[in-house]
Amino acid sequence: MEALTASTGPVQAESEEGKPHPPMRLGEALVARGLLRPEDLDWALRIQAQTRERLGQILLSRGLVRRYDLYQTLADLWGVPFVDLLQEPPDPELLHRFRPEEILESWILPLRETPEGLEIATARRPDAALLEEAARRFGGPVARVRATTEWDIRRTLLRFFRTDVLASATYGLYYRRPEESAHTVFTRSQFFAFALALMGTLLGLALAPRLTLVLLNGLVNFFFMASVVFKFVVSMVGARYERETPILEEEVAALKDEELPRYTILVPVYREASVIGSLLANLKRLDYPPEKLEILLLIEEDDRETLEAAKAARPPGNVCFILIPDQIPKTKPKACNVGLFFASGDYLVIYDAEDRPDPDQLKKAVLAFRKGGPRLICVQAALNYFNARENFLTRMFTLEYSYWFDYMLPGLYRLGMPIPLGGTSNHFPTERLRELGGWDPFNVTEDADLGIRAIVEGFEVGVIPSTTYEEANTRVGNWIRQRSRWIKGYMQTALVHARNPWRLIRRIGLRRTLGFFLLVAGTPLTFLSAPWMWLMFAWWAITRTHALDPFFPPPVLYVSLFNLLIGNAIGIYLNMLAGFKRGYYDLIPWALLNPIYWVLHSIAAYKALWQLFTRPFYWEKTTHGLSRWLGDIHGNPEEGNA
Amino acid sequence: MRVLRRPAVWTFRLRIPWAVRLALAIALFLPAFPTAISAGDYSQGDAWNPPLTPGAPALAPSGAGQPMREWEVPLRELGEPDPMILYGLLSERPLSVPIPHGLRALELTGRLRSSPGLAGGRLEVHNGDRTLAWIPLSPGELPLHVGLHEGRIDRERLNLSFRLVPPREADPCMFPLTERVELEDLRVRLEGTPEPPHTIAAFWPPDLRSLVLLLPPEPSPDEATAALRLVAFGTRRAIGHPLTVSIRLDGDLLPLDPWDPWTRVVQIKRGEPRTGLRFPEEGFPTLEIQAPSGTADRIVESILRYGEALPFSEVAPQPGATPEAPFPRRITLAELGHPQVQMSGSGPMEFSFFFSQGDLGGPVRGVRFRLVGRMSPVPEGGRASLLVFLNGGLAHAEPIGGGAFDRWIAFPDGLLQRDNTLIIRVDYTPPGGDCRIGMHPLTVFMDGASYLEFQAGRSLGPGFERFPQALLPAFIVGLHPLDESTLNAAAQLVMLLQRATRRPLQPEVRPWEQALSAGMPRVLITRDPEAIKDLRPPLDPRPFRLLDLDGRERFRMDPDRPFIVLEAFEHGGHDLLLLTRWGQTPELHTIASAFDPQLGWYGLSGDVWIWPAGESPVEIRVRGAGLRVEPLPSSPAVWWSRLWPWALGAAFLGLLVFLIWVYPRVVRTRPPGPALPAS
Repeated sequence: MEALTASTGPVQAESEEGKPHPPMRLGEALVARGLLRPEDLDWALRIQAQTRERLGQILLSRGLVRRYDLYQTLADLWGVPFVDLLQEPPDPELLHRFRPEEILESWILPLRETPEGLEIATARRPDAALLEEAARRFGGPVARVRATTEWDIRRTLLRFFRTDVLASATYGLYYRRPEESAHTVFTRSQFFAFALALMGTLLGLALAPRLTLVLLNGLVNFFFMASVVFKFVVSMVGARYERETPILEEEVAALKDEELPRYTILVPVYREASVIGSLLANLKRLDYPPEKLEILLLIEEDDRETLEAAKAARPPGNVCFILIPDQIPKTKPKACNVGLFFASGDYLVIYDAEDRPDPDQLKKAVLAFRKGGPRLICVQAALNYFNARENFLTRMFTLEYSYWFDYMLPGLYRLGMPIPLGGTSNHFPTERLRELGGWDPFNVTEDADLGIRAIVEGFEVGVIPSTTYEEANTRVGNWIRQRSRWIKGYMQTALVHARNPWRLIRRIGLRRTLGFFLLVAGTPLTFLSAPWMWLMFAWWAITRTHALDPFFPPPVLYVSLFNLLIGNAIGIYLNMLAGFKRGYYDLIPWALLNPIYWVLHSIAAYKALWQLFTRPFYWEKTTHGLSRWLGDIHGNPEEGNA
Repeated sequence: MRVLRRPAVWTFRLRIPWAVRLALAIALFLPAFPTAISAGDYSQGDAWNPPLTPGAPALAPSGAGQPMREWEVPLRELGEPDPMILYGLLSERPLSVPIPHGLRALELTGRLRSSPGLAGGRLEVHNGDRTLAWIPLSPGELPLHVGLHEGRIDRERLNLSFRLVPPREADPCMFPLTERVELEDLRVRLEGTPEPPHTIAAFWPPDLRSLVLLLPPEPSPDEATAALRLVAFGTRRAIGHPLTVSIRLDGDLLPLDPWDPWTRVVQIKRGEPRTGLRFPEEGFPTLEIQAPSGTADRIVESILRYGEALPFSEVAPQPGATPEAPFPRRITLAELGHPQVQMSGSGPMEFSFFFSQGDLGGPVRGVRFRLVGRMSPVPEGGRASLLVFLNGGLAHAEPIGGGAFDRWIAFPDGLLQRDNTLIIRVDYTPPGGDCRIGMHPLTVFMDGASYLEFQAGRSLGPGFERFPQALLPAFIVGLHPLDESTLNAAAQLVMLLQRATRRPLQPEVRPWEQALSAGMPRVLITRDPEAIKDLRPPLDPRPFRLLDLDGRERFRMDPDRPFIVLEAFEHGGHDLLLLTRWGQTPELHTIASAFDPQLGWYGLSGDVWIWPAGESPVEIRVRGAGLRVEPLPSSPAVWWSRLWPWALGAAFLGLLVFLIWVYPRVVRTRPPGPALPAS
């Protein structure tokens, strides 16, 4: 952050009286003012020797000084007055002549115009270079400089450019690439094709019911079989490489703090007052120099409770609160887009409020990007649950996630297939993420959509051998809400990228396109059709009726038998497989209960389908902090799964 | 042994000499000869209605200019057995191949297998007096290729015969039992350009394979009757194979090969009496029969009876009466196609012929056979016996000497079946038991005047075995409703029944209520089981299960299994054939497809035939077999099938409303928010 890259060495500046101040270093000044203990200063200086970061940043990130104290001291050292932008806001007319991105880039904020020239506020050392830069950017000589904090600059920008920031965060993707935005749920042609398909089906049922049902039955069964075979193949590829770790522990240990880039962590929170404390504690456990971390807590404007809880937690100075303006759609990706606007790190990662990432995750991501080449735009860490054994639901959820992140994602990666990202622990180079357009705020699985968009634009998505532990849903209702959102998001993603399938094929190839549709479109279709298949089977098994015989001619019968026996067995087997990599051997027998778990999926799928038409952008908020294991685990999340 | 036989032909037609038929035809169309005319519109004062266009019309297309085509006719499709087996000394087998006008026979192909003992013998292929091929016999299989270029076609038929000549050293006594020739996969290749007929007389092909009937959209009973009579007639012209029948009411003809010589199209229309050939731009003509209301059946009857004597392309017929065929009580061997039978040789010699009760004119009982003939004297030391078998049962046996014989052989009713095989066998052992050829053979001659005598009556229990003879000489057909589907179903049944008898079937369609209460044999066809609930058939066509005497379930048809059912039973003292269904599938007119193409009606037994949708048919004897029919209660599936159309309609409307409602929610062309700031 440029603001604190100003030298904290002795400053010769003109005071208001014109007399030079005596040279004093920042640390000395803080100690002299009683704002810092000498031993803390020594410690900070040792850290500075390792990280090469500015002292002020180190002191802030370690919580050794308050931001205002630091900047007021800096103002004195720079010989300029401090300004509280809340009390003395800038001239809006003047401000709106410039782009907020420019101001963020430079950390120079034009305050007002005076007869002598421009009055500016800055969080940087006001040297000649800065003055020249300000004159160039703002088209006029600088008459007066005042010091302020970068937090104040952000807050002022959000206040005065609220509409622009919000518009960019909400509709930016739509206006830049409307064909990739889920704002349009169905294009006109998609809607008419959908309507025709439904009408045609009803007409077929009226005129040739048997043939129509045979065709529907056949389509569903063949699709199901293709989906099962696809997942099996991908999982086997992923399993083949389960012992291969692309990033070695020695490499991680060899990283020097001074080489590490700046990292922005976005944490969107909404009604998470109960978990803010553990969130900050979890982030503190990250093995990464805090002075190189910029943690942006994205708090909805109307969520006073979470905001107060965050304040009460007294986070260190590298944690900033970004208040997300209240506007529909009220979604996580919109909040993340706002956070992306203010992010200044070289890399960026998303975490949820209850996340417990592995301490070395950021370093592994940095190494992955170094090795990955210029086309690598994202690496995904594995997700798992710290409360795996709390109840049936958490066990099944853990198996599912383990299978997905430990076998499916590596398999997709190895096969070069599009990877639907998980909702958290996605690491990006910040600028490349901006090039890609950020997240789609209208897509409730913005992560999955981003992964596909990245591939379409020719980027690569990888995986890193690191895990973030989350809280698995312990209640069925909460689980269904969450799962219905995911499935609805998959539907949205499939619809967006199916608008021009030929273009998609041309851009990513037929193999990847098929893989994408089998995975992203296939998942909701599978869960929507499964209940009917199971109902038919149950009806036949109980009553031994022959009524269904005409709808199962031999080819369809054989495929459906395959699905029933082999397909379901494969599904259960793959979930069992998931327990091996992490040593969750006690969970393996629970995989046999997957058919019951899948029933919940189907319920969620129908809810998702309904919401796709009635409330496509509605974000079903998952309630966190329900696990009784939250209070038990303070250290290694793995202890909770032991 | 040499057996002389004439090929089986429809003797009822050939019995009428050409001259008589021509005279009758003229009489039909001449008001001065009332014997040929039935009551109706005709009166003696009407002028003679000459043919409108005597001779071939100027615009009739010919095959000239059409490319030559080839056909291959497997003889199994003509009813010939495959393999065709020849055994016995000098055995001979006749064969008649239909050759439509314009075509010529190129070659007879197949495979010939002979037993090792025939090495050195030969197989001769004859066409009349001409020998077309001598094929030396050797063990193993040989391909058979016999050129037919020199074969003479007589009235659209190529008559061939195979004669087996064994090697000289063959043992005449053992020969018939041990040595044989098998001819497999016999096919005749034809070539040429089919010549369309130009006159009504020549309209019908020598072998009819497919008949398409076009009727007015809402046919009257007489028009339906006319159609069924045409089906019966067409079936009799189909040699050894089922006839493909299609009746269409909308007048639209499905695409046909215009130069298919085996297919004919007949159209029945309303209007002034007129029958003629309507020639298309290319291909075979359609026989157009135009008749006033209520007379179509009689007009068609006239055309069918006398059509072959009409060397015109168009005539103005008058309605003819359906002749009443009195119950014959006696039928000779000659009438059954065997004018004389002569056997000569030694060892066992036998002659068999087939007759059905239908051939005798109806259900019969008390059948006696008068066998008249002569034989050469049995030399001293030799022995001869006469045996008569009916359906494998020995009905008569006696030693015979030489000279004339005249025997009455009474057949017990218990041996009599619907379809019967009568074998007359003479066992002759020469003096000393020497069976070599040339050692005083015995010659037996059976007079074609030998006859079967019988009484009308039923000898068979109720069931399918009583048909088709129970429908002779005429029967009523009731269709409910009278539409394309039921009419085609009736056509299929008539076709199946006609294949089982030589006598022409005379179906008569009547309105449903009349058919239900008619006091004669009937065929009833309906899609609605409610329409026949008062008939009390063996099986109520609703879901049921069959229980035996011990209460065990033997068969079951659940409510969710649609089926077609054909039942044969007595009602009001008359035999009745009922065709109906439960559920929506399969269609009644597909019934013929469930029958064996070779066996046809012969394959039926019992009194109930059920064809579940998507499964193979099942035959059951319900009455008299100790089975009890228990109806199954209607299931929700039944109610659902009734509500289905309403449910679909509601779903369609609901979907429409939903799509209209949801459209603006999901198809968005512009976000409501502000545009991005200029940057």
